[in-house]
Amino acid sequence: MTGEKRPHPFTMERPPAEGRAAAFMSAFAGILRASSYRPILDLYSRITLHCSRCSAECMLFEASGDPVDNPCYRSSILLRIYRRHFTPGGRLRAKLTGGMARTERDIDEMTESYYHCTTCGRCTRYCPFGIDHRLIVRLGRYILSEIGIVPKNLSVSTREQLEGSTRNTSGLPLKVLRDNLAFLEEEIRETKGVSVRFPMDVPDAEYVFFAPVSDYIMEADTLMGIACVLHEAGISWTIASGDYDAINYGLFYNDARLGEIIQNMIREVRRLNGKKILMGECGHAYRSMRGFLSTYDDGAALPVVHVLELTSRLIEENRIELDREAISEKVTYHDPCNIARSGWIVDQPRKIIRSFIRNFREMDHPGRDNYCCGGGGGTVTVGELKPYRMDIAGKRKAEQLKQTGADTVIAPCANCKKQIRELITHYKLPMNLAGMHDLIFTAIKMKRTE
Amino acid sequence: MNEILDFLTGPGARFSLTILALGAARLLILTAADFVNVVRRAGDKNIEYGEALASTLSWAVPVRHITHTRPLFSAVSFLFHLGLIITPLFLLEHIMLWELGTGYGWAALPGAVADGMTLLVILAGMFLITCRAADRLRRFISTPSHYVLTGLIVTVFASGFLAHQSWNPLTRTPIMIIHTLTGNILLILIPFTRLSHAILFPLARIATACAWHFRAEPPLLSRAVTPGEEPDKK
Repeated sequence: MTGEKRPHPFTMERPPAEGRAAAFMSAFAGILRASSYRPILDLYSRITLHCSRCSAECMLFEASGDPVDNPCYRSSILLRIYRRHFTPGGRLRAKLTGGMARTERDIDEMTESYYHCTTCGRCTRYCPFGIDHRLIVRLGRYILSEIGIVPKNLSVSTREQLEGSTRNTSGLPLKVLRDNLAFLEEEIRETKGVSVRFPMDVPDAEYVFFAPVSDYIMEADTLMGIACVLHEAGISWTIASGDYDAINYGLFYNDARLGEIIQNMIREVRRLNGKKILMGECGHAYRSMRGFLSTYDDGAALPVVHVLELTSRLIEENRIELDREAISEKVTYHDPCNIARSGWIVDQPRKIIRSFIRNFREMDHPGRDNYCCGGGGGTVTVGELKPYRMDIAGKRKAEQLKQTGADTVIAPCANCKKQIRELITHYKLPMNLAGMHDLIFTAIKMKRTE
Repeated sequence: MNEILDFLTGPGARFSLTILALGAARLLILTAADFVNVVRRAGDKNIEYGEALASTLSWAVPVRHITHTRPLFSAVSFLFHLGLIITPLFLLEHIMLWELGTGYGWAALPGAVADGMTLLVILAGMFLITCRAADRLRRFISTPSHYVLTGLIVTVFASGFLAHQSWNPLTRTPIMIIHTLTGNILLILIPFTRLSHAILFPLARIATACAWHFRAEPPLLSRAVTPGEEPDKK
């Protein structure tokens, strides 16, 4: 069981050395003072019964059997600290029983457990008491990040996005982005015989488009598919040169970062006088924007649209046509947690798929009941966690993929794409991975010439 | 002996019920006020109340959730709660006591049904305790209070059941004292222990929906790494 000293699961830029417990408690107290977390901690502390029903729904615990991977236990670590240090009854009991000394060990357990968790929210969906373990994990990570316990990849890339010269998580300079887009335009011209633009900094466009920056580096077909759809439907859109990265790791570990990143993107939309925000194929980016835009936007909230939502609507309105003969292979669909768990984007991708893919095989546990790919919650960016992501976190997804017998799995999310690609290699699965718009790029009939 | 029993079913019960009512009211009012405050301070005040309410109702009678996860455990747990709520409220003897004190009464469960449901609670409670103790994981995340509270419920129901059976080999009055004493303790403990989930359950999902609506200006206490600083090599 737990209790033994375990090595840190990831590298940190500035790991706290001495006095971690005191620093943690100080950060926790500060966050409680300046945020609204206290009431929910009070409520969860009172009602949690540790029935452990959630553990049967967590793919991490299913594969590892380790208590630190049990959602109930995971939440109980932070709730225990809260009770012990921030409630009068808990403080009294801790003084009598000497419970204060546990915090050092608790920090180690949280560091491991909270970054094993992919914050997929499946446990929450099946908790009889309605306890949102995902919220507790976020808060735990937030406090840990304030004392320097945060995976180096997350802190470095977020800092580059907020304060670096490139203003994106991959450090992709604007000049290189422009070159890449020119290359994609050329590629579309050669493949489809049509001139399609990736417009940049066009004022008054209907949509300002934000894709995860990794798409501009690794997912050419996804971007070309999206550009072709928008071109064919005659939609005005633009990429913003100031902030073009949709990724928001703040959603995973820090409220302040979450808010700052959203505000930077809103600033760009306002600069260009855009009417709506169009989010690319990325789960957490859409959730952070749709879920928190109104929180951090001090003006009138702009509509947030997921590209799958838009494409589905354009198909329904017959504004784009897809060739039903273009994709003959067996295709399955992976629901990214950040867009499916809430029920936001579940039907739209299936409508798109049914419109042009003849051989579709639904995975078991589809839609809101989906299993995470195993790389959610920012864990896919943490290199040191790869063995865990492959052997534990992604095991269930690999089994699901295998069961479908599909040739291609669609994963409309940058994080899921990376994780599933690695799973396909690790488990030697005979299938390919694609974004939804990768297949649309193959199937779309381009009729507009200008 | 009879004086003790009279006290426990009279002033004792009135005291316990008062503590329960006041404790429950305090919990509900403070919790609701807390979350009204959360919404007031939230950057986005549009809470998805409809969905939270639908989810609460769906879990209040969780029949369709039973088969999804650990069906046996879920079904036993559901029956345990069903018996735990229905039986004391609709037991003839309880209604008569209430009627004696207040003049108001209501329809009671037939004796055989009440007996059956009481047995169900006892067996289900013992099953839940056994599950907790026998399973390595659940034992690990359990505290003594988990066992004590379920054990207390089983004791209340077992003593109540035993006292009314003709084959009961023990003297009735001491058993009734155990029943009424543990019953009173249980009522008093509800607002102050994990049993308060019985009171707060209707608020939990709505509160969770509110909790995701953060303040517009989150606290930035420190920067994990200040720009320009040389990070520690590891």
